[in-house]
Amino acid sequence: MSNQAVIMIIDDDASMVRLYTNIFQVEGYNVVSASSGKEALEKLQQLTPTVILLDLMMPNMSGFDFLEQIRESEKTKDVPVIVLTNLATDDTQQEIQKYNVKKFLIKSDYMPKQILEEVQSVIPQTDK
Amino acid sequence: MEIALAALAFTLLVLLILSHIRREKVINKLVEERTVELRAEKSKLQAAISAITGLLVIIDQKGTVILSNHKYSEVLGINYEPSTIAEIQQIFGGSYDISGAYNVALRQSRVIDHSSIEYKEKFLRVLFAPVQDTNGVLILLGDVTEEELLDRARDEFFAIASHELRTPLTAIQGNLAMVLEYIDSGHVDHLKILEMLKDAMNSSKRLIRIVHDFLDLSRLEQGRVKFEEQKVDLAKLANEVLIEYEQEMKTKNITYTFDNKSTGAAVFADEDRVKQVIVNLVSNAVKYTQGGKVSVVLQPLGEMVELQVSDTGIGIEPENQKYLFRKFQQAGRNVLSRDTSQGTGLGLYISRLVIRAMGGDVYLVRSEPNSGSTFGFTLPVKK
Repeated sequence: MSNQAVIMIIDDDASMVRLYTNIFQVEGYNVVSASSGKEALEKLQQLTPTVILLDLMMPNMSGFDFLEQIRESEKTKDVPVIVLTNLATDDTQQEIQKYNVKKFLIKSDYMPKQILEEVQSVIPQTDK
Repeated sequence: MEIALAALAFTLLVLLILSHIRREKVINKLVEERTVELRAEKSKLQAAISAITGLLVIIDQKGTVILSNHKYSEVLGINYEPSTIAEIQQIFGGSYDISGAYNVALRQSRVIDHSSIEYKEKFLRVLFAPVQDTNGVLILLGDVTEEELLDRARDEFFAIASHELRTPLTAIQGNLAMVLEYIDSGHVDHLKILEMLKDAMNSSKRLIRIVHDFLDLSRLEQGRVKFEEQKVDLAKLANEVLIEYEQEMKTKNITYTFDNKSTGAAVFADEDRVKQVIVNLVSNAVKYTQGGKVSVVLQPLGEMVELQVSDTGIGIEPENQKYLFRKFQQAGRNVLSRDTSQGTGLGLYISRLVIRAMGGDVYLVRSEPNSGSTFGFTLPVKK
């Protein structure tokens, strides 16, 4: 089983990165992970993922800062981003909308299978 | 006869004049009394509206200020007195339509309450009440900045607290679900399964630590913690803690020293709580240092004993140093840039509550980005 799609996971919490990597690798997706926005930006120079799963609360560069940067760049301005966070405030959810985010998901509310379905729903059919 | 009549007429006239004068006197007296009363009432009213915290203005139906308690500078920070609603609107500019709300209150004769209006660096509560007798509107503007900031801090606390609880729960639930799925589908990658179970286990430990911190914090804040008063050997405690972290320091290439300059004066405090603070400072030093040195110094400081913990780690930016002892802070202002993998951000806040309850203090001695930090705490010496 193999998928063309490349999933980029950005999360500073190593246990979260391992969990989400496992979820997608089992399904045959290519997974690229980054433990900070800075690392992700570096990796984005080399590749363009099909979808980015982005945590918000991260040291040095928050998910907001990261979005701000990638939306300014021609190469990454249209990459689908799913925000995956445990910071569930209305303000956050509202403010994030201006960065053209596909979905805003609360990590603890989603089982691995559901995360998989949510992500698959934003992957263009040809990439599956 | 004529003379007699004339005399009578004259007498009547005089009497009439006299009575008139008397009546005028009575009226004048009444007016005078009433004036005094009115004056007293007015000064009572003025005293009453002056006592109101906040700026009170009454504006008539034409938009003219007819009464105020003059607290313009206190609430709005201006040193003149506007005389119309239009002038008051100018103070707010385009940021708040006070004139519109005044009009609604006047026309619809109803109370309007705007609980949190941003004005300069402040938050104001603005209340409009129609005044029937004068056919105008009473406007009360109060400074609610403190309350607003407290509210926000509380909201932020709950947002972060639930974030801290949700993260390990996500890892526990997600990993267990994956393990079940693996086993169910006959997938037998034992190493993967082991890794997932380890993550679930570590996350449950993290969850327990967080719940413990939250409860400790809440009990300390409410002053519900009983502190023992026993003789504490700070040098012994510091050594114990350093030995506990020896292994971790080794793996991070950190060497350590302990310099005991104490005169041996006795400190009476709660031993477990003192150790909790030393653990907090040493674990922070180790956490934020990769390859370097952690040094602990015990020394007398006036009537106190001071213990300093220094590291050669990442240090703290000057502008972030003031946030260090705040709840949930890791020396960063922005909630979004918290490093949740490095603990709950409650350590120093709890340490300060603990040390202050025992008569000492904990503080940042110095810190420089990329060269390290020194934290210290004091405890009083028993004479």
